[in-house]
Amino acid sequence: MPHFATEESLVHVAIAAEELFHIGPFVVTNSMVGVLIATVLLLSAAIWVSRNASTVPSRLQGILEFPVEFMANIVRSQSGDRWRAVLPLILTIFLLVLIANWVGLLPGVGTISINYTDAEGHTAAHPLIRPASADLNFTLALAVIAFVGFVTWGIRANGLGGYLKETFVANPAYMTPIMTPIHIVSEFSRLISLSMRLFGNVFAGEVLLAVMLALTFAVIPAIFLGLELVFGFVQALVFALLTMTYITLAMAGHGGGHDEEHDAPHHDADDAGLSENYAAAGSNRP
Amino acid sequence: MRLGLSVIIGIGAGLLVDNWLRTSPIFTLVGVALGIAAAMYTIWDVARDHMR
Amino acid sequence: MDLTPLAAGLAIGLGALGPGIGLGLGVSKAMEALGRNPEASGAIFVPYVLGIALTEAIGIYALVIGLLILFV
Repeated sequence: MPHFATEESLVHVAIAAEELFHIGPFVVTNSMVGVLIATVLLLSAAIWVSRNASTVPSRLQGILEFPVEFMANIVRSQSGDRWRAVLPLILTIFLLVLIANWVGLLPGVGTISINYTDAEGHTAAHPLIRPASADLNFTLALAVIAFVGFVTWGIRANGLGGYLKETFVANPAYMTPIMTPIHIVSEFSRLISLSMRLFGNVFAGEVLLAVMLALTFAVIPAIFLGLELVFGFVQALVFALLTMTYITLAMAGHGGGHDEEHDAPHHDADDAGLSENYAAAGSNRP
Repeated sequence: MRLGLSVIIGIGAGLLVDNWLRTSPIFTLVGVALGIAAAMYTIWDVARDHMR
Repeated sequence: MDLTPLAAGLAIGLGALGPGIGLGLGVSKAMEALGRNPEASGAIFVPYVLGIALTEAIGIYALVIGLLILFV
């Protein structure tokens, strides 16, 4: 089986993240470098905006405000009156996954490698940078954070008894012995589905790019770079929106869907209020 | 800062219990989950002051 | 006779049938609804993206199994 992934093969594909070096007992893998790049980019943008923010936005601030407004509109329309608690997590997930996906498109990612000699003495070339969401650890960590968020916020919104009632008592009460295991399994399958969806999309995109770059040349791989751009954005959006939907479901209980109280056009009157509230909230950073 | 600190304290407590009891990394994972849950709790509290 | 490549090919090949049909149905209904009522695009957007994501995920599971068969 592993004879497809040796150095003699045309394309270098590795599902697990490859190690770069050791710091004591701690292993640094190349997807850690990728997530470091994404985090540094995001943090520097956030620090810059929070220091130099003005009411008349400069161009960089305008660019950075665009995803915030976009996600804020969606979250406000879906989550009702508890959107202020939901929005930071959703926005962070969206921006982090977006930048982590797009790191895979930078020149030098996946091609610049160092030689790594592992414990048995085999020397292989490991790429230096790998997009973070191509590592199942990263996506699983995000899914675990989201899952703990569903449970914690569901308990805080409905009380512990309310949350247990949602989970263990089905809507017509005689259906409980059938619906309870299904409900519990579906809650846990959200973990797996969230992480596998993001991992599968980004990793398959990486493999696709590697194969296309190995087989063809010039303009044709550029088309697949564009495809990867779109897919990275869509997968980030989907992860964030799914998390928001599950959180809304957990907070609202199951008495009717949240779509019924979705009143679409009252965004415009609130847009001015949004930036003021967040400017006031900036002084309350924990 | 409280958010990151609660996660780190959760992980640290989980690691300590693991080293003390020498079990498999179950307690570390439980510590991770508790740390994240504490961070979520803090987010709700911070947002609640602006929700009312 | 090593059946591993055949298994991987079958995994993704058969696994792409279901999501392909499902996505086609879903997107066509969304386009139909949008054509009837173009101002509802804001209301359609979020459930549409969620529907696509959940359907596509099934195909991604098949792809991941195929990759696992090949490379692990």
